[in-house]
Amino acid sequence: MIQFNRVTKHYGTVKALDGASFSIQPKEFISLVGSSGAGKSTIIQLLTCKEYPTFGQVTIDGKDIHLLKKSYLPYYRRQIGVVYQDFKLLQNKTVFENVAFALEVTGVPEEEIRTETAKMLQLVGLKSKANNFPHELSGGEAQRVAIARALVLHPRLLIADEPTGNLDPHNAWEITQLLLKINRLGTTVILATHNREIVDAIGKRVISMKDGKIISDKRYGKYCLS
Amino acid sequence: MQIILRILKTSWQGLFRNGWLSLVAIFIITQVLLLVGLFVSLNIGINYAISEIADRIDVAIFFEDYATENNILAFQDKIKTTSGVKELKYISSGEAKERYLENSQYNQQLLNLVGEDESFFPASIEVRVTNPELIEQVVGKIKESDDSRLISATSLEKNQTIIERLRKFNRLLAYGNLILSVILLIIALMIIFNTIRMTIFTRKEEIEIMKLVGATDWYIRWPFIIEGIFYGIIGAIVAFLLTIGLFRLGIWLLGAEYWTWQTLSLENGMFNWQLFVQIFVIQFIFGILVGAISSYFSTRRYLRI
Repeated sequence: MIQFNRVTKHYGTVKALDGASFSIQPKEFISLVGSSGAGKSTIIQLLTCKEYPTFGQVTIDGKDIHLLKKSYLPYYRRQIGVVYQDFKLLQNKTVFENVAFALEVTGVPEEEIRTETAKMLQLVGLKSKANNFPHELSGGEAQRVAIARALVLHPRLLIADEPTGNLDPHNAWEITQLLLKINRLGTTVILATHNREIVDAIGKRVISMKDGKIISDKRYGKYCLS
Repeated sequence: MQIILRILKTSWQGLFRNGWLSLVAIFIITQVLLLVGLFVSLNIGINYAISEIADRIDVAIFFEDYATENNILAFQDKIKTTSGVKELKYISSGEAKERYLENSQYNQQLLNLVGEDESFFPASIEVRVTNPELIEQVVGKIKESDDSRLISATSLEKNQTIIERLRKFNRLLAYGNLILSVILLIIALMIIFNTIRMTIFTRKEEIEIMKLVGATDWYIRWPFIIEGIFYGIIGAIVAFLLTIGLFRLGIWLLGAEYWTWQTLSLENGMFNWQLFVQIFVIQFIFGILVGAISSYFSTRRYLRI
């Protein structure tokens, strides 16, 4: 489904990504590991079209996503859900509104928004907190809201950028379980993290990175960086 | 339709959930528009003064003693069509004397000297021109016409320095006014632009998140633009009410007997309701346009993701 073809990204003189090539099949669960600055975030920013590669192509279903017209980008972004370390929730909207908001921008009818949003909150186990504001939630709960928001548009790909970075081990594990559940339900998941225990426990494909290069890509991998 | 309703709802929410900031923005915009309103009144006053001064600049054409009233009136008819002439007025010797007596009624010596002798005052035609800068040309043309032998003198030679000074003063007023207008307009634009940029800056994360969720640029932008327009509208209304209040206060402070609303508006026809409506329309349009445009440009930089 997704193909990185010798992708290089320079920021000035810094090589953030150096000739990375790999492909991702539908319904895969991929852990992208590496220390800070290894190039994980660059890969995610390239996938969300926030950044453009210096060399190489990123294709989805054979189409180079960086050749998409600027005006088409919003529609492209609706096909991928993204979850961040800092949740990126709108503080002045309730949990329900935060999730519904992703549907609102697409012009879905009001009725459908209500049922879909409720369904997603049910999935992430936050139905009872629908009317709370983000500052009233724990970190784990906030991250689950962010996941619900990312999923409500039924994306083909869910990208999680250090989703457990701000969470305690217990909550981190719960979020990981949720991501695995979403993957079982049929969504491709890319999890960028440097949390060794989590990666080892997942036991799925692991792509390891260092200094912008892919140093290993194993089908049932473990966290192999020292 | 669905989308439009949602955009309106979002603008409304933005306005109220950002309570304080909205209030500050409206307050600042009101002040600026008030300034614009006062400035427009000042402008109208200055333009009025300029046209008043221009009107005062005229030339009297005096005629030889032997020219009869009929001669002069015929001459007046002839030069009526000269380009640049705004108004011609025939002043007979009698009228000239009367005017003179009126102007110098307290100077008994002069009055005694003049006595009843009308011939002391030559008949004349008062010429007003459309553009004071062209007064020499117009007089020149009149002097070249057929019956110009009737003309004994014009007041142009005598009044040259005064006319020149008045013109200079007028030019100064006009240029000063223009420069002041431009500076003030730029200041007003900058203040409103920065105020709105500030309100949008605090919500740049919101824009970023909307963008990441897949909202189109215009879907994100419209609520901000509508908010900007709304600031403009409220600011204009408050500023308008304050303008009227200030004028009323000024009149009250200056004393009712001398400067009543009625005398002000009747005497020179400037300070009437029409003017206030004009000022309001200017404030209103200015507020809306600047509000909307500021919002457009302020959101633009955060939309580039």
